[in-house]
Amino acid sequence: MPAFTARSTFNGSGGALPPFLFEVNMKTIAAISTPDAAGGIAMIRISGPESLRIADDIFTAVNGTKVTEMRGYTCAYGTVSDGSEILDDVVLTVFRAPHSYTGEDTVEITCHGGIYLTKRILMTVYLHGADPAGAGEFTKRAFLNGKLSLSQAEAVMDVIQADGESELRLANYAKSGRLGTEMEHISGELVDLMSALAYWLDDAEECPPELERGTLTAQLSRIYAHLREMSARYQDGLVLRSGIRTVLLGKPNAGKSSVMNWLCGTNRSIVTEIAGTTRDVVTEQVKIGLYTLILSDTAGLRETENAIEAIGISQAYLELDKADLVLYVVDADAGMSAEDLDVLEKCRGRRTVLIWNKTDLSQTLPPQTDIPVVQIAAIHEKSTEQLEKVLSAFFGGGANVTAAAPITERQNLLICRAAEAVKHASDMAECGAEMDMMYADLERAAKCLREIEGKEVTDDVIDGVFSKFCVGK
Amino acid sequence: MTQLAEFDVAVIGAGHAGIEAAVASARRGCKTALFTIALDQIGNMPCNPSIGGSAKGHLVREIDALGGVMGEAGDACCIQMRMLNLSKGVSVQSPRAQEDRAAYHQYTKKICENTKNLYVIQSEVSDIRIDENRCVTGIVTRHGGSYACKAVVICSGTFLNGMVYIGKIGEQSGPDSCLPARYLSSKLAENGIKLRRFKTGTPCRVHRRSIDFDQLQPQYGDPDPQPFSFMAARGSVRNDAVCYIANTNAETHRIIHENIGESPLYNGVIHGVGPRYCPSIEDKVIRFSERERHQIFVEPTGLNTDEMYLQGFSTSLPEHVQLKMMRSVAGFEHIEIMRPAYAIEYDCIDPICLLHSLAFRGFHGLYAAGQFNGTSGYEEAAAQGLIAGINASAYVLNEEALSLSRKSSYIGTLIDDLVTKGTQDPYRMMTARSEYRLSLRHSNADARLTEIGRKYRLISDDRWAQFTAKMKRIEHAIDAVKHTNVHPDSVADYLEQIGTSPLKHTTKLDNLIRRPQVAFQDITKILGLDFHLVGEEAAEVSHKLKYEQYIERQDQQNAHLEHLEHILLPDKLDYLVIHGLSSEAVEKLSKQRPENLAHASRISGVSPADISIIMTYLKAGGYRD
Repeated sequence: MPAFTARSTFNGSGGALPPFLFEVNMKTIAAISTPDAAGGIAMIRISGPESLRIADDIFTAVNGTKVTEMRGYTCAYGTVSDGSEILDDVVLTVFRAPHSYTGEDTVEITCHGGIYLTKRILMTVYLHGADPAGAGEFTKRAFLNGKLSLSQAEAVMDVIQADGESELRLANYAKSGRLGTEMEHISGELVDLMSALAYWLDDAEECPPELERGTLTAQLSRIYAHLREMSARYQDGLVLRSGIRTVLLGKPNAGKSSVMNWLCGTNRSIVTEIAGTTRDVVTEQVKIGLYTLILSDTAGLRETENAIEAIGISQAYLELDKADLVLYVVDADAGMSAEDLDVLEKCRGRRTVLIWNKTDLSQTLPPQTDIPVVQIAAIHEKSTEQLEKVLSAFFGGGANVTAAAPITERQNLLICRAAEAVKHASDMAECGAEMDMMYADLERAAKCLREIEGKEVTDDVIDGVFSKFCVGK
Repeated sequence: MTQLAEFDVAVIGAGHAGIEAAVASARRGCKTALFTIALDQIGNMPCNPSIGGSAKGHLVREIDALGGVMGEAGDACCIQMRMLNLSKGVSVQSPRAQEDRAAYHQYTKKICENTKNLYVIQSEVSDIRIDENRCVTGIVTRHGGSYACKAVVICSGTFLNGMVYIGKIGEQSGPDSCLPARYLSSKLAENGIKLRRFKTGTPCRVHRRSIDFDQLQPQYGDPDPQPFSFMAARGSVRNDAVCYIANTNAETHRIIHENIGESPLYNGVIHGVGPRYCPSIEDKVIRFSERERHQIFVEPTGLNTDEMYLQGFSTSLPEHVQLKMMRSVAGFEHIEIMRPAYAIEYDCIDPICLLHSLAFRGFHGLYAAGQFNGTSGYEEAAAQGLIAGINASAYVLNEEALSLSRKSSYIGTLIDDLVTKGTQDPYRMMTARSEYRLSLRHSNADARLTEIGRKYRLISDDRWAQFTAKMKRIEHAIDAVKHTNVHPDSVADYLEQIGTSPLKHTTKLDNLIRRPQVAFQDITKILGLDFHLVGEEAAEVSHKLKYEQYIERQDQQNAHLEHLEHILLPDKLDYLVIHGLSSEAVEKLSKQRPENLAHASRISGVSPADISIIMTYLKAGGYRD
């Protein structure tokens, strides 16, 4: 027997392979297994051969346990991170094959409800290698792995059919909307580029002009930026539908709690004259015009010796990391300090509003800054109109709020994967890699986008080649 | 009717598909007949006098790796050899050869004559006999000859009800003034086989003495050409012919516009669907009006003739317009036409009615290959001919049929495209058609397919020994590279010289080779390594290493489909009774009857949910044979 084998590439029809090899090549899949609505807690299920590895990548147990070493039916408490920030405290449960619902290695992550947070955790799971679970896929796997009885087969098919139809409806909905037009545009652009490249790669004799790498990478960066922007808008859409996570920051006694009360219209936080009264993070959901803010009032940001307060402050920084919006409160009477500027610097890149508070006590004007400013005396103020204007500038006006990118996390994942592939292609082009390698990246990107549209890539590229280029022998 | 002889397999047509089918069948031990309308046209090249080219060169290499004829014949009759796309990445590089057309005919005819078990017969096949069980039992010729056979391979090319057009004049004819096949079509239709019309065209042939070569740009063969065949030594092919490039101009285009009404393609005389690639010159000028000029490649058709082929200038305009437009081209002022350009229209099938074995669905022993299946090109034809020949003989010998996966080859991709998607115009292979492009290199066709050729008894012991030795050397070298540590100092100068960053730590050699700038041959020389590689093997090792991670990713991407390929769909599966399938899926699946779930998933209108439902249904045992 020679040391090599061509067997893996050879598929004799009617061959000796058993008709069912469901165990091999099964992808690892994930989905949110609790209803798609805000709840007390939510659960994400990951199933398949890679599930423990993926969970291990994103989870840090408080007691240092590695997920891959956990036994079946055991739990661990810890945090989930997307690599740059901690997303949530979670409880993670491990099931070892075949002792799980699907019969495969399974990890269930139980987190703190909230559509936004749960979807961000799911996205992190996807980006570490899991695929979105298809129509009725957990149940299908349970069945294929012998976890359900034969008599349940029809019920399984019903689940798949129903899920498939709802997926189709979602896809059609996306196709008809703004996303559809945009997807068509951007994947069209990508396919055009691929056609040009395919023509250039395949056509040897008509001697097409040398492909300009510079032009190509410029085009790729444009497509990349567009994809990133689409994905960002998805995040915004999520934010708008599930609430804008807002952090109230400011030096002790800048009047954060009175700002909180202004926004909530109640006496939720204790307003005192003593600096450092608020220690715990207090959350509140408030409606400001069209927008829902999920507000955290945090302990004053101040270096402190007080142990109890110190916990509150580190918590405040943690909150800052998760925020979609920062309301930074400054006492107009005390004016802008170096500390304030420091914290504002930390907020750079986030949507930040400067709340210039206590204007009843001082005539000092806020400093010239590119950060939008709301000037109020929170204790007396009733209207939130100024703030609404700023929010509308940040998150889009009325129509956008209701129509904000109606895409699913699966679609967003595909967009992110496409963006990553386009980026890779562009990087490779710059360091002089061969064009056929680059084409493979673009093919991967186009496949992701076309999957959203339910279309075939190869045929489109071939059609593009024939319709746009004069192909010789 | 008297029965003249008894065969295992009868092949209809001795073009590039028929030759491969007949030779493979005979070499595998079946008594095989090869029927042709004209013995003097065996292996004819009625269009371009060349073999290979982009993606087609890949096909020739694959045919060769499986033990087919085309690579060997192409090398033997080569008069100029070039590797195309040298600057574009190894997966799209492809060999192409100019051929001596007359020599190619003689060479392939001789191969057929010298093959044991193979009988070459000049006669027009007018009917295929099929019994009440839909089994092939024999063929009948135009002149009443009757032959018994168990399997038939139809390789009728452009002969079936062939109509040749020059200008408005159309007449019944096969290519190159051969008789057309006028009787078989209606018999096929009687058996429920649906036919349709495709068309293709060929440019004119002109006399060498009438061309002013000083005004054209010459094109020579490669200095050290690499032949098609695994068994041919480097540099062993003849390589002294010269081709030339001419260009059309504004005047040429004006003449075409002025006379477009006389083109049967534009005045509605021809209804057949033409190829989208390689369009006629009038198509090019009308559709790509922004282009100021189109290239014309002037190619010799052989060493013992002055006939020159004008690649890129095919047309069905009348002869007087052909002459006028050609004479407007610089260098062609005094051109003499020897054979006018023509368009040919012919009957063919929609290949969706075939299985991956190239057998007709619903028949036993009936196979088809080549242009009859809706493709175009000698290489595409030969590739199918080989597979159809292997499978017709496998049917007779009661052996397992050969169905190549998309991952294994362009041949597998070609056939899968044909039988799962069908084709709306004459199908030409392109590397962009494969989702496995990076791993389907012309240079590793042997590694991919020789073992399969061996299994089907088409690879000799000698060749098998040479092949296994080569694979061992390559594998050994790759293994050695992956175990070689490179110290930063030892390559610092080289890396600086080629403009890539220095190493920070000791690194495995394969990581270094993956840098685009690093050349395998240079770095191994610097490190004083010798892996005892022969010929192209060093380049192949380099490709394997440089593309490794890309190929891994490509394979990952496609793994799901491969998995589905192993889930076979029973012949008699009734899709109507499967609970939950969409009605569109039921209709398409019932009509096309895919062989496995991967094929099913490629049929338009069959959704992932449908695939899941079928999977569940099969697992639940809903189907009982």
